[in-house]
Amino acid sequence: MSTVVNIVIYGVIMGGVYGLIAMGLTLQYGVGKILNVSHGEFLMLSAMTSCTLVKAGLHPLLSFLICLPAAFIIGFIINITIYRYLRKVSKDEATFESNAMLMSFGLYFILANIGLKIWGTLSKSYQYYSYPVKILGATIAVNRLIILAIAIIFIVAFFIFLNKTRIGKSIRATSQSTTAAAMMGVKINRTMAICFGTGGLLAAAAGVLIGMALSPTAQVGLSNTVIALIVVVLGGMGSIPGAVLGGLLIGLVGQAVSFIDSSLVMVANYLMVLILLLLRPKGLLGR
Amino acid sequence: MQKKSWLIIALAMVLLLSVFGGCAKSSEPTPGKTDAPAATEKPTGEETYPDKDPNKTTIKISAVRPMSGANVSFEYYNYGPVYKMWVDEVNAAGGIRVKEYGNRKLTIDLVTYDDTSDVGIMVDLLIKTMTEDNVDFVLSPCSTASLQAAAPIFDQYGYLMIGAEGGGTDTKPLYDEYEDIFFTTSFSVHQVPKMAEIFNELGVKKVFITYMQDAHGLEYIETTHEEFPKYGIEYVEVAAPWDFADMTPIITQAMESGADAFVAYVYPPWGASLINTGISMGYNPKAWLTGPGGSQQSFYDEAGGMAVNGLMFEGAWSVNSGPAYADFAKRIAEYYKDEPTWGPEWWGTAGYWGAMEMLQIAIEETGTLDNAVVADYLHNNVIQTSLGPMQFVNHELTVDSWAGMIGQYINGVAEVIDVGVKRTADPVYPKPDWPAA
Repeated sequence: MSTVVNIVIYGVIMGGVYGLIAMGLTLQYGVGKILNVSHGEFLMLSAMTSCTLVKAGLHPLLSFLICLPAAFIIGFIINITIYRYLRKVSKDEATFESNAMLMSFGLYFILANIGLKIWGTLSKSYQYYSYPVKILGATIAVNRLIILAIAIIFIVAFFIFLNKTRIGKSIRATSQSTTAAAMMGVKINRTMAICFGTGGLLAAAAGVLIGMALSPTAQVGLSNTVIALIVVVLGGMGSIPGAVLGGLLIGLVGQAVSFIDSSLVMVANYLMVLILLLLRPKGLLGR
Repeated sequence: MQKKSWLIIALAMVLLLSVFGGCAKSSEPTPGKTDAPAATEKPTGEETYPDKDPNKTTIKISAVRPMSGANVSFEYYNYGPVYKMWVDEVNAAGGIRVKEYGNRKLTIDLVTYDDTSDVGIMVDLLIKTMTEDNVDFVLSPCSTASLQAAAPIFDQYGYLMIGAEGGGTDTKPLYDEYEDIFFTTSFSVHQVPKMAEIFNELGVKKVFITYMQDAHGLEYIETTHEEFPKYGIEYVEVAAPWDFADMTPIITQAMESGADAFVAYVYPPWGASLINTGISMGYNPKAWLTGPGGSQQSFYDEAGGMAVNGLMFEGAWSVNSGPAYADFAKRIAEYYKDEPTWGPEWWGTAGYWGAMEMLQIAIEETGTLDNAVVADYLHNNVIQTSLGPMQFVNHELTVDSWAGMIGQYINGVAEVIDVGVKRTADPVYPKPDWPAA
């Protein structure tokens, strides 16, 4: 019984974090058509920066106030410089998509090596609410519960942002049709830059959460990009609710498989994607 | 040409430079050291020696090492500090005396290349330095995979290879194929028997083991299968995840196993995450061993320092292994005093240092830079280094050449806890509780 409780609780916790990462990626792709391979590097830089700041004496929650705006600004600047230029010189949308993905590979190498130069390959970690509580017979680390609570706050806040704010409406309009949105007065370039920056911000939020409990290194970026891609494909490319659902699914399956053989988690993830692509190529909530 | 076009060209050049930067040759001085004396010195003894080349003033040595990429920490913490300090100390002492060059002292001219932690690039650079740089010796690359790839190249171009980081049961088949290769890292077959001996002495009945399903993890778990039953030690084994992941499932299973000891044959990021998760879940077995990486003082410090006092690791040597070891630790710490993130490594570095001295002594004793002759000397002699007598038997340093196999941080000091004369402190068992959060 306690094993099942463990799987469900930790599965939901990791699912919340994965959902957060995937929401950022799907936002960048859904609106800007940028399949951002460097997405996980925003998470890595944020996780390592927050750990460094906390070790220097900053409260973990305050590190959000530094890492998230920084990630947004970096993402925004990257978009208005590199990707805007790429879009301008690409002859059509398909060319832009492929060029943008290649460019993101370049960004990945640059950001990953910046991380390695700064932090090397050793883990960073700190203790924050590092003690367990018993829930239905299962031993649950309190810091994981805090992570879940914060992830839920971010996910809900993001949904409110998308649905209730003027910028959120611009983003949704742009994701449906760039041309129609532009005709309605939406500033497309600015909206795309905000989307890319917000994607970076969401990855950074996940990074701070990971730093709270998982001892990150400067090498965690790519593996999280891969997970985000799997989640996005599962949930449906461009679907924000799909990203959350996919995240939860990956989190739960990952935990369950870990109790059989931890080294098979990625196999299970890819298997799910494979089956889903055969049965429902658009993903669970894809349009 | 328009401004934007220039910008694009500049950007492309920067990208190209960053890609090919790893191939750039570097002979910059190492940190915190004085320049080498320029002149070569001839002894005033009666015996005269013919000089093969009066114009030769240096022994040219190259190294292809991971100065960027995933293995950069090995260069930073492990072999890098050793060979750099060795070169500087040799040069500060005037060089290595070589009889075939008129018994003059020749200083070392070190040339280094960055293989970017890529075995393919390492191979290319190794061939380049062996064919174009006219080097006398080539130091070893980093990692078991690199050593496996490098051994045939060293053999083909007539260079002896003294390995540093890496080696294990996977490299043993190379011994039959290549004559002049030497391995200086202790591994599973040396360490696990000592671990079993220690656990038996401490009364450990059951061990929970998690391991990487790669060459390292598999060879350690296979040796465990052979060694633990000898003492009737029961064990439960669980594979670790391939990627960075939440470790709660592993710690949950460890808690449920009721084992006395927790052993992780995993790399440092996994090891750190397991410790962190163990603390968070209140899992505190009587013994906790992690490696590779547990032997890095910086790993211990980063994992919590005194908060994880009692952590055991694969290795091992200690400042308490004798005055020579204490002196070596002091010198290497002094060498890196300006690098705040650097810390000593308690597994391989002492062996690597001994191997560098062995090479130097072999050159001086044979009086030649001929790699085959020097290798022959290394194969057939017990060599008295500053750390004690060291010897290669069947391409490996003998167990007696090392200061120990298993270590434990006791009050912040890395100690050797092998059963027997090499022990520098009694093991702390059970280890202290994690501190309250």
